[in-house]
Amino acid sequence: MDRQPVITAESGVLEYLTFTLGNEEYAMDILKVQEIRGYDPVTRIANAPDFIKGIINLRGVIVPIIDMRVKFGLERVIYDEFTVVIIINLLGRVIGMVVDGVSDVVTLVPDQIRPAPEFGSGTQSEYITGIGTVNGQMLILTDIERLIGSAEMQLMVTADNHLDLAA
Amino acid sequence: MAIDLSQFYQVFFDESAEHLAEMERIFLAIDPANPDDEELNAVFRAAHSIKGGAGTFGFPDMAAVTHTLETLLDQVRHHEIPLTREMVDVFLQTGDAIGMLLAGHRDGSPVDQQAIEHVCQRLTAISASTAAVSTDNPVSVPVSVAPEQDRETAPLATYRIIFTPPTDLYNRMVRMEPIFDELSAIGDFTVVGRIAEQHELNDYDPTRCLIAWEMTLTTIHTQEEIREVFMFVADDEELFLEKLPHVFKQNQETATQQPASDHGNGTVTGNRLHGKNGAAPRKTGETTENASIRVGVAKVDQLINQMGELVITQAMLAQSAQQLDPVQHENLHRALSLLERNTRDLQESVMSIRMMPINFIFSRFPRLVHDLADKLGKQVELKLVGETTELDKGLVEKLADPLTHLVRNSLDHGIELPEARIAAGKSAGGVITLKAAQQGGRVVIEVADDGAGLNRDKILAKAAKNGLTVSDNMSDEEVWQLIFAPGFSTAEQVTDVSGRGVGMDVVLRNVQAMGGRVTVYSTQGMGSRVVISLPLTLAILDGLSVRVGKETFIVPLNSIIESLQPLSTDLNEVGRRQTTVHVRGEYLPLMRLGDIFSISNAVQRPEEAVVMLVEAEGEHVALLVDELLGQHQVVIKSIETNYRKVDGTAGATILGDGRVALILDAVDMVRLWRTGTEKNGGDQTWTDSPL
Repeated sequence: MDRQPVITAESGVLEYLTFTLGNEEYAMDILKVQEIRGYDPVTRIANAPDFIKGIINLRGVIVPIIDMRVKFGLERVIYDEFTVVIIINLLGRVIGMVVDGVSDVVTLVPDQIRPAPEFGSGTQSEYITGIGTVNGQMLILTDIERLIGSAEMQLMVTADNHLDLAA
Repeated sequence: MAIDLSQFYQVFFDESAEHLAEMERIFLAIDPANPDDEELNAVFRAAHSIKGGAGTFGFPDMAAVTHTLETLLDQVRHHEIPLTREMVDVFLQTGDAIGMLLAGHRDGSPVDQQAIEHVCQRLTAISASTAAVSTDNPVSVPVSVAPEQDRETAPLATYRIIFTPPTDLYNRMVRMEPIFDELSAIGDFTVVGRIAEQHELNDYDPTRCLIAWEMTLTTIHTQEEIREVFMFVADDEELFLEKLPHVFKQNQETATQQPASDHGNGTVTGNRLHGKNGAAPRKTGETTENASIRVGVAKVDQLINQMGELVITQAMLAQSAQQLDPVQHENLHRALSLLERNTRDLQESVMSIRMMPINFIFSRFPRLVHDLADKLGKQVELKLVGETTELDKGLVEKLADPLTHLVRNSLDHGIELPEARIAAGKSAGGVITLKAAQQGGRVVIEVADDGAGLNRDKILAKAAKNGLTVSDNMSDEEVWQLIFAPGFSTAEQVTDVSGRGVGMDVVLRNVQAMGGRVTVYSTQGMGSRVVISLPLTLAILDGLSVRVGKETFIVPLNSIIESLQPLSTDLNEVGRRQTTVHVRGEYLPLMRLGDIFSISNAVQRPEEAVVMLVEAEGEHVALLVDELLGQHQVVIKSIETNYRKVDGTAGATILGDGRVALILDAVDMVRLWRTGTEKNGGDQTWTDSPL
């Protein structure tokens, strides 16, 4: 029993949390997930990119909420009681991610993962690590860490110092 | 029964560090031409205490260096040799050397033996060079110190005196202190008390004297004269007196005190040191233990966080209670208002734990300025104003580097060489002022000098060379901002003081990281002034909640001057979209919060909304909001922890209903509004970002 996780780790098996956005099924590394909760009204932040919905109070900590639909260029939906926020914890930060719903936790072995096809520019292919197949269903594996850490997310202050130098 | 002396080491280290700091402070303030006797005595006492402690605790190297210093100081103190600036410098270096030895013993940090030897040599050199002078023209020595002037030429001798008193010494109403005083008046005197007789604690009788004193005295007086001092106290057989062989090997003298402790069965009991000039014996640790306790910063931070949660909980309770009938639930309401008051008191107490006076960093600058000014050949006086201003501990620590940078800058670039100053019609000596003051909810720290000021042309030229966009008709303020660009320095040559251009941008970044701002004021030829403005605390503030559209914001109470409902006659359109408000003779620009934060359904007609007069760094602006909601204490929560800084805000807070509200920062908001209006030519300010 005790040796089970070691074996799985060695053979490259990873557990993924799957979530839906529109008609697509996405998957992300479950170890990055802190919790899953319903959607609470956010406090809007002016002049922020539109995929940043705002900030919420998560037990005394201010957490930004991003909408993955907007980020991935899908059409918007009205948030309802089924809308889910996945709270992820990575790069020392806590961030909420709005998705249509979470479906399952799946275990994938390397054989089940195919490299992502080249979509060309314009899509979010750089954040897609591969395509997984479970029971004949396709899963888009996302690299959440790279997505959140990317400069275009503007979640972190990067090279731009706040100098408004004689612009 | 050996008592482990190492348990007192920490106290000795702390005390010695204090003495060293005191010595340094006095040396920096002293006027060599006309030294104050009291100050000289104080320095001497400090050196003497360090020496005594070092000897007792077995740090002969420290004792030796301090002894050399003490000898010289003693001569200065008795006006045998005049004090010179050069001597003060050597004294300061000696202080550093002792500090280095101290650190070596305490932390095991490396000790530069060469530097210590160098300092000792310089001290002895001064001693030797002035010795000749002092014999040539005998200086008057205060009578009380050495009554027998004609003995000046008598040889110095070091005596070991061991006094083993009868156990009924105290019953005979004998006190040893006057005797020690008398001995210390005739020479260089140290004393250590030892337990002369072992005894069990349960039959210990405090009236019996079980102590023997071992003393060393370096004096010109004879053995007989020393015995006279003990005349009424000691019988001959109780007093052991011997002349020690090494008389002028001063460096070893204190070191030999330790090995000499072979008398009787006495073990060194420690610290009963009686200093010359009545440096009173001090009980170990007595003062420090009672005055404060040391607590980890993490614990204090935890306390402050929990305090913040309590404030929020209290706000939630208050909000829920508002819906209850005040008559029916009178007791509840009374208890709640009591809770609010107690919470507030508690919060103030908790916050004050973290506050500390800014003197903590200011105090390092006299030395820095003294050393640097010498190095650069400039005459500089440092003025400290408002050192007692209190600031959050975290901020104080982070301020050290930026301030050091600014002071060094002022010294190197600001203050001119004496000749240049005289040529410019100024006094030869420059003045650098460090000022701290509390202004509303902020602490303002200022580094000012009366030097040359910033050179506009040079800065512009350098900026152009560095590839920054500049133009000749930029305002002075904009030009001064350029010096904060990374890698910017107009110094003609790189010195080891400054000029590498890794200065002001670091200052700006550090200050901004603390939620502060840096402003530069400068007048060519008259000097420059750098003002750092910081939030007083990082945790809780009083704020007014306001509503715009459906959104709630918190405006810090200390930036609000007043709120009013404007009459249409007080409003004037300027251009297409800009409006001014006329309040008591002042025309203030109207900032619409709804525009700045692109809130779609904000009230548009100022007559139907509320105008808040807000102060933003000395400037007054009018802020248009829909409605005032109420006054709260809000806990500042960082948005940056998980996101990034939001323009125009100083953070966020959690309201009574659990929602998040942004806390506005008046100055940042004005800046945001200005850039917004410039970009859009004063027309519709912000493109509405879709929700």
